[in-house]
Amino acid sequence: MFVSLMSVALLVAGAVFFLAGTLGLLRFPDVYTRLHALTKADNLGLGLMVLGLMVQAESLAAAGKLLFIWLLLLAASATAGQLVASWAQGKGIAPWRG
Amino acid sequence: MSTGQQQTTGETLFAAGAFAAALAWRLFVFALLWWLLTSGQQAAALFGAPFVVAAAVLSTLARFSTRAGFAKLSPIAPLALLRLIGFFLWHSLLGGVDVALRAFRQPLPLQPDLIDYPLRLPPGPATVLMSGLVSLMPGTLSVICEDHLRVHVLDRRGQWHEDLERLEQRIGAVYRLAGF
Repeated sequence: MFVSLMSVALLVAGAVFFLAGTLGLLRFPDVYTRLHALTKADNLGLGLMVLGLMVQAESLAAAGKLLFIWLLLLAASATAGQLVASWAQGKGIAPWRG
Repeated sequence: MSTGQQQTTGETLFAAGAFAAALAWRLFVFALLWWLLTSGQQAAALFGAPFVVAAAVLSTLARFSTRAGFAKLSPIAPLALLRLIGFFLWHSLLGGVDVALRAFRQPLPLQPDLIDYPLRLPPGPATVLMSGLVSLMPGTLSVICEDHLRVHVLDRRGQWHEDLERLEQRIGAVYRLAGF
């Protein structure tokens, strides 16, 4: 019971951060600020969801696999974020300044 | 490290020890990954073993082959690595909360800017790790990573400079670099 409640709380918290990341993607003014929203909010959102699923995992290997997925996503999102940002720099896209 | 006449022998021994330690560590990590991916099935273990060994040997060789322009690497410091992981987890939590709060606010609380941060870290894996982690820290996104790091900050009045310095300090400590 306690485990299920904790799992639900973590999954809902994760979903809130995914929502925030998507909202940021839509509301933020330029490519750089949008990348901030995507890389950080989604990384935390998935981290929380992975934790929420890990407490329910059937075996240690299944829990470890979930953690591994999160680590791969961290590496992928940091790399992809930097690639998009440096592409925008190369195109001469100036950052939005309030 | 030993001095004088013993230096060469000492260094060779140290290098051999470091190589063995790095190989053992990689064998453990790759075996663990294979075990995770196959959900611990025994039949799969036999099939994966040669690949685990091959991957560990190749990756250790790549780590210790000296490349031009790259500083010689020491084995990583485990305690410093744990501190870096703790620092990173805490700051990525802060980073996610920070950007989420900004996304919900009206009007948008953004004062973005591009800044150049001069790196003390030498080129190589330390710099790559730094530029990757910067993008997951609160309010900073790495754009270009060469001898300096070009960083996009969400709020130019924030304490990003202090955060970058602390991150760089911790990464330097992981790689046992002089001056960190």
